Amino acid sequence: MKEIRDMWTIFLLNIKCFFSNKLAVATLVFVSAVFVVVSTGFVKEYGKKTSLGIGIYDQDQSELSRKLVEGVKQTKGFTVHEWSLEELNQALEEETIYAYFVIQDGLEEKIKEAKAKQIIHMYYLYDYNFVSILSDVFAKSAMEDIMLYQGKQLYEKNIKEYNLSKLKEYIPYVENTALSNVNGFFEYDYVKVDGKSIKSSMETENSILTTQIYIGVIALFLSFVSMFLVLCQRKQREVLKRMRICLISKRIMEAANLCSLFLAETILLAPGALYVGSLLKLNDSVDIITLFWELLLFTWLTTAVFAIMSKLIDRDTVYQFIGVMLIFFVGGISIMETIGQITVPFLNCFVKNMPNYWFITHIIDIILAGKPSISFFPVGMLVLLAFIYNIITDIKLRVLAR
Amino acid sequence: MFWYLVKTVKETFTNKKVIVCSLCILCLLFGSVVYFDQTAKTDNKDQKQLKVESFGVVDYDQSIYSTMIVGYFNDTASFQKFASVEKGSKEEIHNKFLNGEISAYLIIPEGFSKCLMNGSDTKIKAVINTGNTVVSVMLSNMLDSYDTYITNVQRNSFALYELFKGTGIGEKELNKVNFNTSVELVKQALARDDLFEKHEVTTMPHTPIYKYYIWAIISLIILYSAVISGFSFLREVSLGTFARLRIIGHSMASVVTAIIVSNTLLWSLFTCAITKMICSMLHSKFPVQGFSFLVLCILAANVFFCFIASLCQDKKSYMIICNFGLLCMGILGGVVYPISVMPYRFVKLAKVSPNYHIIYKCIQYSNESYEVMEGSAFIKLAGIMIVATLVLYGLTLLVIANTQRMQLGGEDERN
Repeated sequence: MKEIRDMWTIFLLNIKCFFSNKLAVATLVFVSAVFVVVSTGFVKEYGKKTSLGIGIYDQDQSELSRKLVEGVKQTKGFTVHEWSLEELNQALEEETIYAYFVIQDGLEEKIKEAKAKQIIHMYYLYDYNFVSILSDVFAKSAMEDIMLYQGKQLYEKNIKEYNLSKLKEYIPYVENTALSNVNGFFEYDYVKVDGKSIKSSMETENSILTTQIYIGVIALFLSFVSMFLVLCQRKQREVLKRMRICLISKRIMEAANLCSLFLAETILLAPGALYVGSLLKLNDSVDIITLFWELLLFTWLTTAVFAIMSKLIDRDTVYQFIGVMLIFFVGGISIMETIGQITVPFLNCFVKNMPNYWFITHIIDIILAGKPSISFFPVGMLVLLAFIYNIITDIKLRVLAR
Repeated sequence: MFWYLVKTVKETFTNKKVIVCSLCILCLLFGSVVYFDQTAKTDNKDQKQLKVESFGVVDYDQSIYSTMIVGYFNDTASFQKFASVEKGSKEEIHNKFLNGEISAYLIIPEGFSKCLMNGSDTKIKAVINTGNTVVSVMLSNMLDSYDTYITNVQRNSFALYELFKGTGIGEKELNKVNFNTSVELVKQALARDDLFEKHEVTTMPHTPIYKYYIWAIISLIILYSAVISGFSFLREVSLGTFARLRIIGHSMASVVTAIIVSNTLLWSLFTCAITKMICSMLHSKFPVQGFSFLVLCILAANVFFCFIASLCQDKKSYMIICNFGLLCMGILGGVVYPISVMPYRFVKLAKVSPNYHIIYKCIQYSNESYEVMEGSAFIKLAGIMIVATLVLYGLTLLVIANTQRMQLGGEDERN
């Protein structure tokens, strides 16, 4: 009973100390405002095409070339920029686009004569593997007209060769022909391979890349807030030391400090989860509750890590510096692994055990499939970290006692 | 002015923790550079043939058309750069798919080519692993485009067949014409690569991800070294250096200048040495102009953070502002992940971040075929940076003077 009372007292004291620290409150408000601004930026891109950028410069400006450009813009998975040649070249050098296409003058005439060869110039950075099939994807939009005029040429050639009578015009006839396979020739089966098991998945949507990066950014902000809250508590050490005069044991104080952090984060994350859920267009209340739980687990995990770091590092500046480096490093490689940019096997194994990676993949699972796969990783990690925290606290107490 | 430099050097090299930490970080950095460079070289047997993915095909049809389609994948250089094609039985391909050896596979059903010719319904099953987002998006797009090709081949083949049939041509000639036109149409679809004239932009090769992150780390070193500069400034404030200087009638500008100059010199030497060593390991060049650019960046950053420190006047608030500011700039500027994967809105915003400019300039300078900026252009850039630095320096001195005056006013009131 006394322990519970003591913990509650320390919790209230922590809250009072935090709110009396104007800098801390201002920082938290500022961080939240920046997060809302960044989220707004991402949301405006959500539902649009992904950030695989390509550029087009249309020198022909004919009906067929415009049809080709509009067709490319409808291709899922790409953001198409129609810029000037200088802008496209600069964007390519900065790697903000993967390639750009220059449609030469005379495209329409050459297609109609069935002599469409090397009529589109493609500029790309060498040895970038995705670029090699971009031309296939680009050509799709031109293929209907190319095949139509090729067919017309074959028709007229064979009419002449076999001396046949031309009863109908080719192009109007083809345009009116009904196709049996209007839904296409491919039947897609999207699955997710997880070790040796396989489970259904949804098609990777246009916005998934953007969403993964957005979730990665959420993880970075949450990590920073955890680091900051632990830092604030460090500064309250002097205040909390005076509590010992009230005969509150150090062990209770440490446990209460950590629990008050967890409780504060729970309260802060409730509206946060609703906001993020609305941005990610989660309408089902079960999804929002699951999202809230995932956000909470991740935040608690990072708080535990920073709490252990705080125990090991005495100086505030060193703690902050190492904390930010960790956020950069872990956050960065987790996002890159999620979008498939890391190919080094050793690093792959390392990254897949990072909390950020787990967080991103689980939130994507909620968005795609409605419920994430059950994972004991975060709870197991929390228990392990709590155990480590306890051991470090014990060791420090014994060192202080000596 | 150089007394501060001597003092800083003595303090740094007598602090064992700093030396040990710095050595550990450097070993980690150089070790990672060597490891990733060696790994990249081992993976790329031929630099221009980067096989990232494997693609499986289960062909139950075994007709001339299905063989042509599979053969085309294997023979096309552009497709081979993206994926290698493996043909096999359903069990073999599916096991490889489960083991992660292939990212997707197709099942061409029996009688596919006959259905294609007759215009009847037929489907090729495509099984795609969504684990790797970018690859699954590319594969879906690729298959979509092949869908269009096959649909158009069928559409035109069917139309030609009906039109020739309507002319009253004999059956033997009709089959011959049908076969020839179908083959021509399939060849046209398969020869779509001829539509393009491809140009590799060799002036700026694609930067592998590990090289990109090396320059991102250099940009962080530059900015965090400047944070230390501001911290040194605040330490002098807390030690009462400026107050004592005021008493003996010494200018505070000399101390501020000493802090900035000595930190710039030390960190410039350190950063340039690391850059040179990294470039040697990667067998890249880094011109003198590049080093000059780095020194200018370090100088400008040092003055900027001294200015921020003079505004904060307190270590705690200074550290929080710097850390959060650098985190935001790092995310925006491409330190956490490259700009190329960001939404376009954020790509435009990246130019606000100093990290972006440092990373891209370093990538350019380390590229063999990059021609350095013309002398006049570089002098113009340097001039702008120096002017901005001087303005910030002036503002820093103004803020310090103002703060000192307010403190003096406060002391007078108390007296």
